Amino acid sequence: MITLKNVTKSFNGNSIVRGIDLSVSEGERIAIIGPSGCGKSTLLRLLMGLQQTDTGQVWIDNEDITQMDIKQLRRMRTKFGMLFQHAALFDSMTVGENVAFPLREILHLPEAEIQARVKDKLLWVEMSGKEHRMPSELSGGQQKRVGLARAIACDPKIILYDEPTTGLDPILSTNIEDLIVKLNKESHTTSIIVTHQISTILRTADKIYLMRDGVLLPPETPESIQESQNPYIKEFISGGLAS
Amino acid sequence: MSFFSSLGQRVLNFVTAWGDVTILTGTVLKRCITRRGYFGRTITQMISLGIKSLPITLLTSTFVGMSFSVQIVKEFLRFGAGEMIGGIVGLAMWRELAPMMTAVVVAGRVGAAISAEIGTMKVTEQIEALEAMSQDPIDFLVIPRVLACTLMMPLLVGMADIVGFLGGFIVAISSNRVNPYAYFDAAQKMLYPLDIYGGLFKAIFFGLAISLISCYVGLNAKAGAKGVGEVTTKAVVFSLIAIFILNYFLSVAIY
Ligand SMILES: Nc1ncnc2c1ncn2[C@@H]1O[C@H](COP(=O)(O)OP(=O)(O)O)[C@@H](O)[C@H]1O
Ligand SMILES: [Mg+2]
Repeated sequence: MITLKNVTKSFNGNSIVRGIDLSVSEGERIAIIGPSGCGKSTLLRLLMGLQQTDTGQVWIDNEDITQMDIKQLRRMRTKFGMLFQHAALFDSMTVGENVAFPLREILHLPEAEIQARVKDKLLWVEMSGKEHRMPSELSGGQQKRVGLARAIACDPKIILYDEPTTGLDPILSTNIEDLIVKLNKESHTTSIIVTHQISTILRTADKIYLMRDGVLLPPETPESIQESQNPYIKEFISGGLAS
Repeated sequence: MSFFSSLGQRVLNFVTAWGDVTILTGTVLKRCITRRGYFGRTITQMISLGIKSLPITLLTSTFVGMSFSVQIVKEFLRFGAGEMIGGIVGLAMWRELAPMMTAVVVAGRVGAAISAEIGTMKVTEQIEALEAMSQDPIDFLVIPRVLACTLMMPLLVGMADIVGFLGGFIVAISSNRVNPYAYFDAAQKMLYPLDIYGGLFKAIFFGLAISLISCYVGLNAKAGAKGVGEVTTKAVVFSLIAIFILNYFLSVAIY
């Protein structure tokens, strides 16, 4: 359902993504892990067409999005839900309005249905009754849960998670991980998780790719990655588990 | 050499930026006609940008009218031209002072507010979130602000015209040597409707320039907390430059 072919991207002459091939099938849960600044967020942006690739192709449901104009891109993006690294809630809107936003602006649902869905999604992320709070009144973990509610408001087929647990304490991390696992079980969404937190991916992904020097290493499973002999992976795992 | 190349780069950036603002202007004007559904957001912005700028506009304009009148009254009475004072104050206020002072105040207040808000949205990924949810940041953020600012500016200047003229009146009559009737009479005799309309017409361009520049600068904020601080300064400075230059050419063209 998602296929990347030799995708590259550079910023101001700095080559960040250097030829990535990746294919993700429907319902699959994959994780991409790598150190900060290696280009993980950039890869997610390329996937949704939020940034343009320099070369290569990005196929989503048999359409090459690198050939799309902005209108086609916007239509294509409705297949995605994205949880941003810092939640990226609209700070001028309440929690309820944030979750209602895609329902109103993308699906154009009637108001009663919007309210019902907002309630439902907030219940799902355990944020019921916080509709009227402003994002600034919430903790980081709460913001991420609202961000998740907004990302899944339209029941997207693919969900992208950018560092879903980074900066959260272990209990909150587990809480978010549980939500990711639950979501995948209940609605069979395809999920791509990008993180530098190793604990997160062991529970939430079936396939794990390590991103290094702008390319992806061959995939590992949560079991195999812990026994990997690749020194780079070993270092990452031990460092990740230690911290 | 490196001095010249960095100077060259700066000039290039500057020219590119103004080119981008021009393109943005074209896009916004076109979409105001072709797109729908920004009405509610425009009203919200008219209130938060326009109405809330009213008190400070009135305050500054009153004092500008008063201080201008202080200078005029003294000098004109020396020449025995006291009966012209109302006309001169009106002329200066309506043609130049009210539009300019209002624009300066709005550039400071509204330009900083718009650029800080949009700049914050940019560095906290909110703009990206909009795009990820298939929305167009220009339709969503820029058009309502540009429309609101452009529509509210003439209203603010109209108010500034009135209070500035009255501020001048109070100073003039409190000198005890200017006849209150003569003040209004002079204004009526010496001034044409164009003196007022011209100022309001300028205001439209000032509103357009301030909002477009501030939106553009905000949308191009650099990542990091420093980015937001930088954009507000930039937005205000560039708005002011644009206003002063525009004002000259508009004055030449209108009068
Ligand atoms: N829009 C951009 N302009 C310039 N450089 C960028 C841009 N986006 C990302 N980068 C650079 O690309 C690199 C990778 O960034 P990112 O994808 O955010 O990394 P990660 O998410 O893995 O931490 C960083 O060095 C960053 O500075
Ligand atoms: Mg990142």
